[in-house]
Amino acid sequence: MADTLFERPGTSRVARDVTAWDRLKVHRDWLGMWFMLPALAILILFLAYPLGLGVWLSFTDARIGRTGAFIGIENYEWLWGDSVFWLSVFNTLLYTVVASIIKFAVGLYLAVLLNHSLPFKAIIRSVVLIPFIVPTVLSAIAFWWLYDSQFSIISWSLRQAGVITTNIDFLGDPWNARWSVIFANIWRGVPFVAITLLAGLQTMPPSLYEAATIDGASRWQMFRYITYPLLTPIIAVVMTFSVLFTFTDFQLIWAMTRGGPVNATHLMATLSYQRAILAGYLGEGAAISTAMIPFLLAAILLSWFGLQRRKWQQGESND
Amino acid sequence: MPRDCRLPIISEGMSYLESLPRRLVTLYLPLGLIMLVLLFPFYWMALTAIKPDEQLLDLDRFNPFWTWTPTLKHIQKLLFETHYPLWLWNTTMVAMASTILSIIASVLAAYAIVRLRYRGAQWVGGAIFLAYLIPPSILFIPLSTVVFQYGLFDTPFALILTYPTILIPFSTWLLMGYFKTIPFELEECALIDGASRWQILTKIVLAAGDARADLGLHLLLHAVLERVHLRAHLHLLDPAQDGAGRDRQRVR
Repeated sequence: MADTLFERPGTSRVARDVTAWDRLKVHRDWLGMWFMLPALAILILFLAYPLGLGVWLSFTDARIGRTGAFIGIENYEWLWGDSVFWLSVFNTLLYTVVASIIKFAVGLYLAVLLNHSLPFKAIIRSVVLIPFIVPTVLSAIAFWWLYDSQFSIISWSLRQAGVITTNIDFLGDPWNARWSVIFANIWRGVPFVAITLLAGLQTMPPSLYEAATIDGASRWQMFRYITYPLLTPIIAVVMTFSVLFTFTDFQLIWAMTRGGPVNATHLMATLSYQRAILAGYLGEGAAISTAMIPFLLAAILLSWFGLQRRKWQQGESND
Repeated sequence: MPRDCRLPIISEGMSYLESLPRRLVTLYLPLGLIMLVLLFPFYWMALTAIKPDEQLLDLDRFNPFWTWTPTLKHIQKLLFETHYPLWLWNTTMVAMASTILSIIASVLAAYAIVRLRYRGAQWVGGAIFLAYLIPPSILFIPLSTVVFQYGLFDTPFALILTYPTILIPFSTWLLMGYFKTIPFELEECALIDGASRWQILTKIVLAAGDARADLGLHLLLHAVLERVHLRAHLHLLDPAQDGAGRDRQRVR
């Protein structure tokens, strides 16, 4: 490539050695560094450093307003014997597994439905995205009102239909609350899964379906043996993101239940926030959020190495 | 017509094989149900916003699904009796500032990774993608400390500078893909004509497409939406938080 010195036409200059200054201005590596500088500065100062600091904090007894001393793995030992922490791990796993599976199933189904020729196709597709676009906190408040113990429209409708006699206490009972927040999470995540998978469905070569039809394949066989295998790369991407962000979800829970009732909906993220920021035990809270990292690494490594390594990971177009 | 070949056959070619009743059951009914569930919360919030108070609380005397006497009382209260306009203004400012910052940083970074191809550019590209996978909720505890350390606590910069940590990896990743689609030859010609890298970036690469507008809009949206979230993190940090303190922070 033309990365050597180029003269502006018209400026006459005698040939001279490339000075250090010239090299700073045009050498590929130096130039690359200048261009990277703003992004790197922000990412190092506000991403890499805090990430390291979080891990370090988890080994100290830091409180808010007081830098802590190194205490080894005492925070983790304390968490090991803490039943609330284990409850939050259970909740997080339940929340992630159930929500991800249903999000995938419903999202895939919705994507297949949207792939049909429909009247007002474009409008329907953009309308479907609304739950994903709207701020999580806002939709959480909408659900909080839908789940209200007295004025819930769901309870009211079911009572009118004669299914139940008393209002359902959506967010007051441990298991009700768990399923309620899981439903809200699914509601929010389905559009993302559906639209991304729809993008994948649109690139399917039609000749395969024609061939399958001639061979007498049923709709289910076409889906199972053509659509699904061709869709796996995109499914891998979508589900990695979905699992990752469900696992570390904070906003939805915090806006709806704050981890209650009796810690039944505390996820690891909300518990760490409560311990670190509200109670002031930064070290302990940091230990909880650091404990999430192994789970996240497992999910990332699975997509990075386990599933096919794809060009999209380096920012190239999908293949 | 090669373009037509890319359209799915299910939608274009074979749908005539389906009878209307069949489509009704297998397509319109499930689709309608899912759409209803997805959209009902919004309808319900909008309805709640314009219902008079007595109708909100008395579900038995009034049909809760509709109101014949909409009121703007709640909205008026929000606009004129709370600090809502100020919050809106703060949201806009922080979103704009962090978006502009992110766009500048990620355009430069993406260009360098894709086109300057300095030593290790591929690794940096991979690292950027990994950075996007780091969820904000494991960052907020250390960030609360970091914001104090940098002396940014209780200033808008606490937010303006932390948002780009989410936005930059995403937009850099998006832009890398976009820059790869611009032909190398354009740049080579410009270099031969004596253009500097900066001129190439601003006059050729960015002018070659309309990706800028799309990305800017997307990022702005992203920032506005996440704003509420991070504000909760960063401003609930005050340990001596009383009612007045919270109010002051909310006003910020």
